[in-house]
This record gives sequence, C-alpha cells and structure tokens, in this order.
Amino acid sequence: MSDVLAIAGLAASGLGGARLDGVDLTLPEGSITALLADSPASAGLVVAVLGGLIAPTAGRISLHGTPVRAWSPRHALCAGIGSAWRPLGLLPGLPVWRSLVLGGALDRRPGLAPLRESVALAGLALETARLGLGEDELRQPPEALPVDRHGLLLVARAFGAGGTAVLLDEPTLDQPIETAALVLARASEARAAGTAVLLATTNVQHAWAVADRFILLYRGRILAVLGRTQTRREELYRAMFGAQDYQDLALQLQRAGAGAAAPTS
Amino acid sequence: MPERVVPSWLQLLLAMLPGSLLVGAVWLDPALASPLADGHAVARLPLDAAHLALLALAVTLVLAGGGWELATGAYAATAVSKAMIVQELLLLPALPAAAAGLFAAAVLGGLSGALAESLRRPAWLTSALMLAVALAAIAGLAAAGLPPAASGSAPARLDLPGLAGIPAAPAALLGVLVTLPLLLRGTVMGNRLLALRADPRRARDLGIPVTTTRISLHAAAGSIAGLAGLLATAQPSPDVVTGAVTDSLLAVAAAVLGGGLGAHFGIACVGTVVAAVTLVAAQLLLPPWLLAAGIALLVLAQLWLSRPRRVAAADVR
Repeated sequence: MSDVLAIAGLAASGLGGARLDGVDLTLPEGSITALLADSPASAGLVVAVLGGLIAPTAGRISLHGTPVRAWSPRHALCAGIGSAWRPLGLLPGLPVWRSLVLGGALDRRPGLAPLRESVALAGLALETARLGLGEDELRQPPEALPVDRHGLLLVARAFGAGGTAVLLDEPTLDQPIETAALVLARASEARAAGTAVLLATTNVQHAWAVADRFILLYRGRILAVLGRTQTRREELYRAMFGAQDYQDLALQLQRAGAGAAAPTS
Repeated sequence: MPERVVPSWLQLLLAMLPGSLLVGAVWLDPALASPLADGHAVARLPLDAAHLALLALAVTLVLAGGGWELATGAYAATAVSKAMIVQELLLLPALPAAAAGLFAAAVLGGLSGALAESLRRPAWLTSALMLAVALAAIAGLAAAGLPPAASGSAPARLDLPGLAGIPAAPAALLGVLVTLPLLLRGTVMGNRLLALRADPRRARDLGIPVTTTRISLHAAAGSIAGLAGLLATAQPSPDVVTGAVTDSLLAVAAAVLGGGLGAHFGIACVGTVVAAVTLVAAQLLLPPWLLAAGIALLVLAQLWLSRPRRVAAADVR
C-alpha cells in the first residue's frame, strides 16, 4: 500500500489554542487511520492542514510521494481529497445543495456551464442517501436544519469529493448510534474502494470498530503509531483518558518531592 | 434560491424622497413644471433610465463579489475607461465599434478586478488607487483631445436597432434583466457568486476559487457597463466625461437603494426613478451638487439601515 498523503515535520496552530509541533504522519491508500488526540482541536487541526484549510507554519505535505508547493481547499479537492473539518460551515442562507456541490466536480467546469438544481440533486442523491440524508434537507438553508445534520452533510460532501482520501474530523460526534454506524460503514466502503481515510475522533469505540491503524497525538506531538494487531482497545482507552498526563504529573510531583504516587504505564 | 434583499418600507420611502420633493415643489409652484413640457427631454427618459439601470446592475455584481470600498473604486475606473473607449471607437463603423467596445469594457473590468484582488489590503488604499487611475485616464484622454466631444466636434452617432418594435435601450435592459437571474441561478459562475455573497471565507474553505470568481465578476460587470456605454453613445452629449463619473455615482446609488443582488427588478425600477429625477432636476435647473448631495445622503442612510448586525458565533466547535 503506497502512501496517498504524508506530512513531515509539520507545525501549525489553529482554533482554541490548538497546535502541532513536528508531526509526521502518513495515510496509506485503502486503509482507515484513526487519529486519537488528547485535544479534539489538535486532531481537527491535522484535518484542517491536510485539507488545505489552515496553512502550516513549518513542515512538508506530500501527495503520492511528491511534495506539494501550493496547498488550498481547492487544490485538495482537485486532488480528490475531501475533508469535513467541524468548524467548516455550510453557506448561510443558501440551499444546502450549493454547499455540497460547489468546489466539487461540477464546479470544475467553465464558469458559464449550466449548474441546475435538479442535476445537482441527482448527483448528490446516492452519497447523501448512504448517510440517511433526504433530498428535502438538501433544499433547505442550513439555518432550517438541526446542527447535528450540518456535520453529517459535511461528511457526505467529503465522501462525495474524496476519491483519493477522505479526512473526517469527529464525524460521529453528536450523532445517534444509527447515524454513526452509517458513517463508519461508509468509511469502510471507501477503504474497500482504495481510498485513504483519516478518522480524527475522541470516540475510541468508533475508531476501534473500523480503523486499521491508530495514531496517538499528545500535546501536539505524535506519541505512538500502532497497527491494529499491536494494541488493544483498553490500551487506547487508557491513552485517551490521561495515562500520559498521569505519568507526566507523577514525574513532576516526584521531582518536587511532593508526591508519593508512582508512575504507571 | 438566490439571496434576495427586499428594501424595507423606510428604504422605499427614502428612495422615493427625491421624486416626492420635486413633485411637491411643482405642486407649490406650477410654473416650475413648464420645462417638463419639453418633448425632447421626455423622449430621452427611456434611454437614460435603461443606461442607468444597466450601470446599476453592473455595480451590483461587483458589490456582491467584494467589499464596498473595493467595488466603488474598481467600478469608477471601469466605467470611466469604458466611456472613453466607446467614444473613441465611434470613429469606426457601428457594428465593429460596438463589438470592440463591449470586449474592451470586459477586458478593462477584468483588469481592474485583477488589480483590486492583488491589492486587497487595505481596502481604502485600493479604492484611492483605482480612483486615481480613473482620474489619470480622464486627464490623459482630455490632454490628447479625446473623446471628440471634448474638443468641441460632435462624435458620430451610433444608431442601435430595436428589437420587435421595442427601442434598443429598453430592449437591452429587458434582455439583461431576464438573462441575469438565469445566469445567477443556473450556471457555475452564478452559483459561485451567490456563495461569495453569502460568506466569502466559507466559500474559500469549501474550495470555491474566490479570486478567479471576483475577477470574472468584474469582467461581467465591465461588459454590462460597456452595454450601458453603447446605449449612451446613441445620444452623445458634450459632457460625456463628467457624465460618466456622475452616472457611476448614480448607478452606485441605484444599486444600493434598489436592494442589492437578487433584486434586479428593484434595481431597474430605482435606476429608472433616479434617471427621471436627474432629468427633471436638470430641467428645473437645480444645481447638480444639490442632487448629488441628496442622493449621497440617501445612500448613506440606506447603508446605515442595512448595516450588518452582530451575530453570535454559532459554528465554533
């Protein structure tokens, strides 16, 4: 399996004080990589940088082994990389189908090429139906829909645009279990079709259900990259719920002579 | 479903204020109305109205794609340059002149858009630069003795054919009014413009080529402004230079008072009203500065009424 996307020595800062420092990461084709971070904003920042939404302050992004010079959402979409970054919103006041279609394949035609609602809806029907979204929702402006549907619509957009790679930031957050299952099943389908999927999530169960690899991100740095056979769900839980924090804290307390707690693994 | 900004009752009242004042003045002193009997002036109204409404539609496109400061500066340069070029091209036969004038106006619009995009910050500096370019163009052309009207000789008259019995000017306006909404709703570029109008930042994040779209918008606006210029040349007047500048300002006013993108017929109506008011004011020999000041006040009032309100950030994680 060759790497579709790779980042090396990446540094960036984003919303909520999130930052990345010297992050190396690869996304092989036909695989699902789960990104588990101590801070959801840090994991989201990786998605944003790879999707061209936030420019890194240092580091290199490679596409199929070739370093990219300019990288923007447009470049990413043209390379077949769809991303659903949670802070990325739908266009206000416009029917949702416009947010899903613009930037995609239909938008890469000449400016005067026709773009009719019926054609756009027909093109979106299959992808949105897979995630349980109805055509009537696509005709509404985002203000008329519940907030959890916004995230799902962006996930549908990412899968629709991402033939090469799909980058998902907390795609199952706030979703009922039935919808979460649809999203994870769609990710598995994409993997089977050879797409590289990055699943940034705080939900270990959802990551464990589908992922082939697990990347642990701690305070903006990669803590570990583990294959599915190299770890267990319980270990991932411990890592997610502060094992590294506790080790660091115990060490500092010992140095200060104030703590009797022994570091645990 | 394009975004549609419907003027409130207060905004409509403001739009009607100049006409109401003039009607009131005539009611108080009927002698003031005698110049209105001038049949020539009344005959000019459809052409003037179509010309101004087209310019206002062009302004609306530019405004929808960018900021206020940016749009006014860029548009002033486009409109003035367009007027100059169309006048010069009248020395050619009518059809090549019309085609070349439209092409030149589109290219000028695109160039001014590209310049505006490359100088996006700060916006006031961009506006100042664009206005300086416009003034330099006027001064340069005047020094060269162009357009012919500036040197005292009347330019050739461009006879535009009508369409199915409708005079050329209203026919052109009607054509643009019918075509523009179709292009906005039914083409890739139109949808990009709607996205840009809704939220430029999100449009960029969704992968829409914002810079290309803005430059294309300027080119489209230049084409429409060029069409307005062609109509204007059907009735050349000796004050074409000052006329181009005044028309630009009036067009901005009509675009604002008419309701913005999506309210094409509203803009056309307000453009007609503004043209009529301007014509009547000229007939009444009102000083131009008074009319300009009145319209500027109305625009400022409209901008204040339609200022963006603060909203809570609802899309943060």
